[in-house]
Amino acid sequence: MITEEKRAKPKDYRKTLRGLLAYLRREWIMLLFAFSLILVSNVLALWGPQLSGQAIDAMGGNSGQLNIPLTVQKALLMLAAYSGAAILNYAVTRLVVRLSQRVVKRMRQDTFNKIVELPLAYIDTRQTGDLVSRISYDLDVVSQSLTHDIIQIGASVITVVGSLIMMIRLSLDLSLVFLLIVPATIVFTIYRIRKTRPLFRKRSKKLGEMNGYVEEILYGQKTIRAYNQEEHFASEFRVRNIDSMDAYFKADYQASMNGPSVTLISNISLALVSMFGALLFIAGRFSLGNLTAFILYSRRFSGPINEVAALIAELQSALSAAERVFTLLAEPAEPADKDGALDLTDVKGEVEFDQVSFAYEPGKPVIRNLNLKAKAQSLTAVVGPTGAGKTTLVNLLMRFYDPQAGEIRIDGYPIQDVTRSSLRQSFAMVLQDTWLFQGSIRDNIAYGKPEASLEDVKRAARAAHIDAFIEAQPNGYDTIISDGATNLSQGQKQLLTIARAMLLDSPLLILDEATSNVDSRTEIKIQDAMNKLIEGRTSFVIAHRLSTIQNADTILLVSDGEIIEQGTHAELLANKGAYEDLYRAQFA
Amino acid sequence: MLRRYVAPLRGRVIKNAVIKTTGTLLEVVLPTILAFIVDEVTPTRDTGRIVFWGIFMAGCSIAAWFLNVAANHMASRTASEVVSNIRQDLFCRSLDLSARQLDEISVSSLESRLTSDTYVIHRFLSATLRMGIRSLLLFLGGVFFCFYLSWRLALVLVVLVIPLFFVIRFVFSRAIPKFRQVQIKVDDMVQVIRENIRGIKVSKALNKTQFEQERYSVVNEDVRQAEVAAIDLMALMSPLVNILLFGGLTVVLIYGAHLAGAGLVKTGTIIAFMSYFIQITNSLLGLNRMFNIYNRSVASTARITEVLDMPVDQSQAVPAAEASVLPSASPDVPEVIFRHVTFSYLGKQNDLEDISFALYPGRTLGIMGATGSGKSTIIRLLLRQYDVTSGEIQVRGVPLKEVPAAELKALFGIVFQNDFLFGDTVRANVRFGRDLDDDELMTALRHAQADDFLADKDGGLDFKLASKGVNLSGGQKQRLLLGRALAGGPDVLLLDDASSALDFKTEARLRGALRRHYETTTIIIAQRISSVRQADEILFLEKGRAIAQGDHDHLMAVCEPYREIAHMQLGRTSRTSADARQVP
Repeated sequence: MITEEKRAKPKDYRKTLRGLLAYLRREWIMLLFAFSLILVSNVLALWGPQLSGQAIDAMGGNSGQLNIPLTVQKALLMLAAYSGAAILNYAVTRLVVRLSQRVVKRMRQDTFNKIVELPLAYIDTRQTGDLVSRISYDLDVVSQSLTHDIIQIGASVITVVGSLIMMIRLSLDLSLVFLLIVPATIVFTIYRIRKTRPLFRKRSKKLGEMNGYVEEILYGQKTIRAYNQEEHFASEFRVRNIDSMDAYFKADYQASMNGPSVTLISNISLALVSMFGALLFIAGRFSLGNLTAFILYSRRFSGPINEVAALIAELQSALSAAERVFTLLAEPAEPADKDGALDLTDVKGEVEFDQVSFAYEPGKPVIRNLNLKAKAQSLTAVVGPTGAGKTTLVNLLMRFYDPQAGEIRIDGYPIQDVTRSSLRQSFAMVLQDTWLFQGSIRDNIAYGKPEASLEDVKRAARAAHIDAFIEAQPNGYDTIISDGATNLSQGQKQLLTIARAMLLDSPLLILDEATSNVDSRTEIKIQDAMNKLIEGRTSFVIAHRLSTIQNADTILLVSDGEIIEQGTHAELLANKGAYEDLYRAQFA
Repeated sequence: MLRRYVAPLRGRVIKNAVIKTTGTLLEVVLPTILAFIVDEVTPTRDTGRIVFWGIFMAGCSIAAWFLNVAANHMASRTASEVVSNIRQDLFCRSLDLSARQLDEISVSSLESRLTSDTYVIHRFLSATLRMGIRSLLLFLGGVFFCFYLSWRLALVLVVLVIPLFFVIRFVFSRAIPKFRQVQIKVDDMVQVIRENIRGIKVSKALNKTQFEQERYSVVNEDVRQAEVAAIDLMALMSPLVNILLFGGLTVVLIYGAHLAGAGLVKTGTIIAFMSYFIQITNSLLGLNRMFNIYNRSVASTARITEVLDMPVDQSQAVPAAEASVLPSASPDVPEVIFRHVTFSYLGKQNDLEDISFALYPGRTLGIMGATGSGKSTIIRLLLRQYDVTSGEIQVRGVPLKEVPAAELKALFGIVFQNDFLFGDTVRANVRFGRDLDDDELMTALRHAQADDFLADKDGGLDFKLASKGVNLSGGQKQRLLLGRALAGGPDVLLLDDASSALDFKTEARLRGALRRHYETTTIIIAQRISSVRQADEILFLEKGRAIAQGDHDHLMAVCEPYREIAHMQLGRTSRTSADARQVP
């Protein structure tokens, strides 16, 4: 697995932040509204301590004269202020949840859209679990952080600034204490961010690796049990488990130092305020009520400062998580169609490979200088040992991959010059590796042609000889199936995908080991249908069973990416070359 | 369940709590010192004492820092250890699940239990150990000092407790089901992602990318709605709690004024009291946040416990009293006997019916039949992934139910249909955790016809497979899997469609190698006549029944469907194996 995290540099954090802000910017009206509500609610909350200070003063701490009505008045006013703040706070939370969920929903959608638009070369080389965890785990972290942290950051900034203003109004001298505290906190915070950043990044990465491993191994559970190797894989897992825990622990521990440290700063400020406040009181420059209010403000002030630590930890894990999402989003999708790309219409079906060379990995060519001409409506069969590049031909025809050299033409148009969608629309395809999604049998068959009527679907199922099985299901064509369904055999799955192809009326057809999992008897039964499928289309059939391809117009024998023999069945047998060897092996 | 995992670390947790308590107490005591300074020291106008107590406060703060950092360190470690133990056990348990249990839970659900659920628990644990204790202590300490300062004023708190309790219960009882709903919606969403990654080729080929994106947006929206609904409810908590508390604070002020008028409390006391009141508010909000995390963790804990506590499938256990030692192979005793075996996966229709055969050492049994006719089921029963519904299976004369699992498995070398390869070296994939050296691996791979393509790969045995072996072709994968099965020198080889992706030439060489180098008993499931024609006995299955049983010539004579297949695969002329060699 290639890990792009290795390439990540510190400045990527800034890029990630910019990416997040770009998402938030689209919600700026809500954001603005939320911030104004936060502002009002916190100003109200800030008014509280002043009012309670006035209430204390009204008790006569200074003058010795108790004024109960004034105390009651101030106290009730305080309650009103705090209640107003609480209610506004509730509104803010609801607002921000909607905002952040909208943002995260859009991010999830973009990530998903990206995943399905990525070139096959990317998907083929990644673990599914790692890709899934970007949406399910990483974006969840981002979502949690957005919901809590937007409110936190807004409230903190307002509270800190507001408290500071109130404190300065109460006593400039005493506020000087905070002129020491604030820079100290800022410097400390920046230092901590620097220190913990790589730890959080590592934590996300290790977690992704472990998730990938879990996914992979669990799919082999039955094999592992059959070989009695549970213990071996448990100990292999232990290494990754401990690795990921270790990374988690280190980040967690470092982050957990921030809390007490910031508390220390704020507690020391409390000590200083008490001491100097008392001294100022003695000097007669301060009322007791003012001291109360000041202390309450200083508590308010240090509240958010305490939170800063927790906030940093959360923001950091959110940023590392977002970073993984943004690296994925930054991956190039399948290159766009060329400017002025043509739509393939009325395809006759002439296919030509002209000096095509291709390698999945540089320096390891799979196909070399391949030349091939298939006339419209002809049947071309590709045979050859496994690993000879047969499936690669399909990948190139469908433009899942593009060749490094040479050109493939359909009806004389280079396929690079036509739109991908019209190119792919021209093909029907059945692959060895079947795929079904969770949905009804009907939807699975009509996947390539959603407008097909139930009758059409039934006809296709009948032709693929899977109709009896479907009708035996409790809900017939509406029975819900899924890829992991245990009640379907490999062969039945393949028949469903054959039915899927039968519904399409594409001029070109690819059968890549289309019946490899179907038993021979069923294969005989669907032979007619397969022949009908092939009829009138330019077909490429990849097969091991030579019996299925004896009628081909051209048989290509591929070995090591080159066509070593080419001709009809009879010609090739007469040739007494590699094809004849292969043919004989079938009966050995 | 959590208790079970935390219990062994009880000592450390208690030490942790004590340290945390001391550290927190040092912080809690600060406002009291403050009240002391204002009420007692200030009136004396003794600057020296004021400075002394101020420095004392600073000292307390520093001591609190040391203790809290130490406690947090321990807490992080404890949480990490507990969760890594849970995860390890869960992983082991997952590997141990019987086939039936695995079908029931499903692999993808297991996976999300191992990843996101354990992660939720981790967050919960580390938050509890770190902030939970602290919030609780700040709360309790605040309450204690309130009573200490003025029990009359503190009575206000007592009155508050009842409505607080109901508010919290009200919100939680409604929020927990909502959070469960979120989890379900997330599972659905993940399912769609997973499907799409697997089926990317098909959706691209059929230009369904946009369709899939729309399909995803539906489940995506479901998740959003579920989350909003859940968080909306939780958002009620903090304003309700706040209004209650500040209502209390108002009462404290008014009542305090009366008490002060009566000379029962001092103003400094009210100041400190308010400071503690705010501390109580903050700690309650902290606890509230804990509860939020707790809410999510309850659902996750349940999901994990379900797997951990899943009983060992009793049907699979071999009671010690009945366990028999497997004798070594003897030419007179069949390695495997099926006697009138009938089996049903779901208990409705029979998936296998009345299957009988006896397979002597060194012999080969071929199984053919339509898809879904029960071929793979025979192997699954032999491996005891499932137990027979009726009839009996014996291995070397011992009933299958009496053979200890480890001994049974040691007997076999297996390749399943579309078997499992993982992202590691060829060596790791073939050795598969067993005690085998490179020579043994290479020999097995040579016989499996994998040596030639391996020679082209960088590093040979060290060649790194991509996840699920996607950087190999189907035939290459099958040859590695065959190598894996052969490497252990098994007594019985079970091959389920293990060579379907091999071209005929390679398969012929493979059969030759197996014949020359191995004397194993073999059960081979295949689609190709050529794979089974030399078998000593061939079972032809249709809908779970053996409609014909015998060698190739016998089946050619009596079994119409078999004959059809043979004609299709081998051409009309090949009537019997003797004839086949004369085909062009």
